[in-house]
Amino acid sequence: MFKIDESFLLLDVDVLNAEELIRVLCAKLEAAGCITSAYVHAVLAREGKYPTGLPTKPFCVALPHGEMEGVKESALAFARLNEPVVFRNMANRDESLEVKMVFLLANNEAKNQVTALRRLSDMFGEPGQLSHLEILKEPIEVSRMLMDILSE
Amino acid sequence: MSYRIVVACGAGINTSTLGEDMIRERLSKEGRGDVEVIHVLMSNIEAYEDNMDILVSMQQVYREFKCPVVIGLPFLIGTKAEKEELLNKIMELVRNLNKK
Repeated sequence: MFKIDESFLLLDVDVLNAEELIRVLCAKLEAAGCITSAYVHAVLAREGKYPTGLPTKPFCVALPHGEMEGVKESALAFARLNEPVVFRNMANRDESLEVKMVFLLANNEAKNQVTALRRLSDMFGEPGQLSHLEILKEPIEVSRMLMDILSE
Repeated sequence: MSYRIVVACGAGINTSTLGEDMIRERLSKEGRGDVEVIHVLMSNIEAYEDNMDILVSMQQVYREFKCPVVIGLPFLIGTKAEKEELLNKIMELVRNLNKK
């Protein structure tokens, strides 16, 4: 089960770039006790080698994450950006994608992983779901929607 | 005779497990117990090169392989219809293996 807390759902944030965003989201997860500081390094290192931008519609998303190391409690952090930042495409790292929403996963249970990915991929495949996530006003609404998606 | 589908991805969260899971589900629905599905890291793909019948890659491939290659990205970002289409395509390749 992934912890989803309003404190790590950031709506309409401004950041300079992907690294800053990853640091901001990890800081929230760390403050909530879900990860240690080792995790942010793992996520940044992995993103450099194996990027996680996805060319979804109607806008691109990214799914940064590390391995299980540094994760104390599985959690999903989320950011909706005022201005997109560049992530490299997971399928083709030479391609830059302008990403508007970021789902940062921290997972410490292997068995969670496939299920969570399947739920998220169902959402990524439905432009209507991402659009809906774009218009929600309150973190509580976003948290309900993400919890619904992950528990379906 | 049994066959092997290899699903490969970058690393970490193992998006290949997603493809593996969906392909295995379909194979079992169609009673294809003779087809094994495994997931591997793309960086280790050489070790399977002579030992796979279909490669499903979650990322771009930059070289030729001896077996058919399918790009598995729709498993992650495709609509339901696109996911189904991708599974159909893989199943068609599986059926063609029989004819060899």
